[in-house]
Amino acid sequence: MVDTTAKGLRELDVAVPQPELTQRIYGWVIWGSLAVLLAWSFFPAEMDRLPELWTGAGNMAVLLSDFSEPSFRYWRDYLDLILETVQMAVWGSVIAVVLSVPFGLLSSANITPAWIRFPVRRLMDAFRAINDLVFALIFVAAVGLGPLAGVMALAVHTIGTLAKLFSEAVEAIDPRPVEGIRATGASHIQEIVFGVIPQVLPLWISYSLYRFEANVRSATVLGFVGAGGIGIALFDTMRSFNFAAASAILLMIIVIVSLLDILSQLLRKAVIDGEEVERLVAFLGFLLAVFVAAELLLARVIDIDPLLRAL
Amino acid sequence: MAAIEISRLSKTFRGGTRALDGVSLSVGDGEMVALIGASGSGKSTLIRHIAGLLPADRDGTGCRVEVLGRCVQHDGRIAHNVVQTRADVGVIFQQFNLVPRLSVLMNVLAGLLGRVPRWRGSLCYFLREEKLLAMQALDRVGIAKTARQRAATLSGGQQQRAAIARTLVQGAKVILADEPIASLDPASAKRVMETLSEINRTDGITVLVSLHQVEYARRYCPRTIAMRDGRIVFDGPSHELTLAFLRDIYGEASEELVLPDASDGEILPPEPKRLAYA
Repeated sequence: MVDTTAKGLRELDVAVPQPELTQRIYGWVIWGSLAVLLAWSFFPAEMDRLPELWTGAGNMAVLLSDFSEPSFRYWRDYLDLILETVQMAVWGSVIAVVLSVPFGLLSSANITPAWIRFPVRRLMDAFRAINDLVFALIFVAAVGLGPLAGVMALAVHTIGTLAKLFSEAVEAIDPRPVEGIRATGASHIQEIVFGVIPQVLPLWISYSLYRFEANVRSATVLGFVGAGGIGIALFDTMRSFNFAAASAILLMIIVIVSLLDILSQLLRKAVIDGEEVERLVAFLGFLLAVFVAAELLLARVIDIDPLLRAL
Repeated sequence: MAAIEISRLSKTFRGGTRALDGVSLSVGDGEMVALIGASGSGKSTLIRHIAGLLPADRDGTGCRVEVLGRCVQHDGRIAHNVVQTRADVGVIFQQFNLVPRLSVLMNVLAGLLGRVPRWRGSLCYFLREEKLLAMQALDRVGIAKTARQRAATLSGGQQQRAAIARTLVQGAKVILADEPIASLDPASAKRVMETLSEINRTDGITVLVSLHQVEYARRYCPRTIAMRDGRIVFDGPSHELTLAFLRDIYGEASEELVLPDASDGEILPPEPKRLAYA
């Protein structure tokens, strides 16, 4: 019988085993590579100039003070453009989600043979690799200035990311329910509809909502290249050093992006876990009121100009 | 006409494991046959071959699997029209293989996929009488109340009965059950075996059921096929499977097939033990 009291343990003759040499070498290699990477990028990334943030504090203070007094003088234009931004993100995301379903299934290893999967995946890589701002430039050349170019840019780039995420979800499914469906004499399409889609649907919804959030954020800069949305106003005010107006625009962007982030969070919870459905409904009502109010303001059905002047 | 007809079936898995080694057997229409054997003896592999879910070796021996007189696979090639044959064969799996996020009703309705027009099945659109049929099947296996629940919320025994309901709706003439009770508690196991046996008696559906424990085979199936290392080592009346005989065939491995306290006289499956504090 071994005495396992503290004193008895101390008398047992054991040593702490050393980690194996190869494991220690792997550790050194991994941390060493990181150190080399950081050192290699230090000067090219101008990290030696980092202290200028403090020495130039005066300039920063001037800039911040310009931003600290937002000017909402042209709020009606900004509101119009912000609504356009959201509307672009909505359509860009919906088109992308719909098209990502076939593209995602076509790039899943457990559904599609390699000779189809491989070219589809490379196409998705290309969609993903090219930034949406670049796509916006391309579509502006193709369909002209305006929101349509922005919507197409968002859709194409989002298909690239969503199709990859969708196919990863499909590749991680449990094959047994699919086999159960196959054993009933179902066709290949029916196997996917009954066996695959129900399994991946929660993940697909979740990914789609994340991409919608990201698209609202991306849509705010597409205007830089003339592809619609609030970006054009942001670009103009910044270029003309009208930081007070830029600050107002940024504040409005922060408000709308936060609202839509909350919406997508609540949607995720309600649709996937079936929780907090009441909160979602309440928030949807609130958002609806906000957008209706915004449209009424823009249409000058409600006029708050006298009120603003009084302030 | 034989319900299941297999000749010289062999299967070698990648890596060289010989899972089936020249298996030939014939199961008559309306029989209820047990397939027993230790883990890794080839029971599941055999059932998956009969259902046409796995192709056999292409070794040129002309191996052939026929179900209800129709070819499922021949010489290692799955028949082109296997989808039609599968519609007449219900498969029940150890892990139930229901779609966990779909309702029980939808899972049962999936049994109709081989029969309803393809566009309708693909759009999940089922007629009222088809839904009624599914409800009747659920009622027959005793879980009609759970129809609207997600399959994932059911207990193991209930899920397995939903899987049986799926084969009923399918109108299967042959049911292949791959260790249907291996992941169930004794009480649920008994109900599932009774349901299978009742379907076999009243509807005349042929049942081939692989089992891990000989007691269930002796109680519910008149005929037993015993496998070892991918070969059939016994095929005959279940009552001939005495403990001594099993020890003869399986040696040490026979302990895996028989409950430790079983004797030849006792052919009843074990009742669930009541816990002292319950």
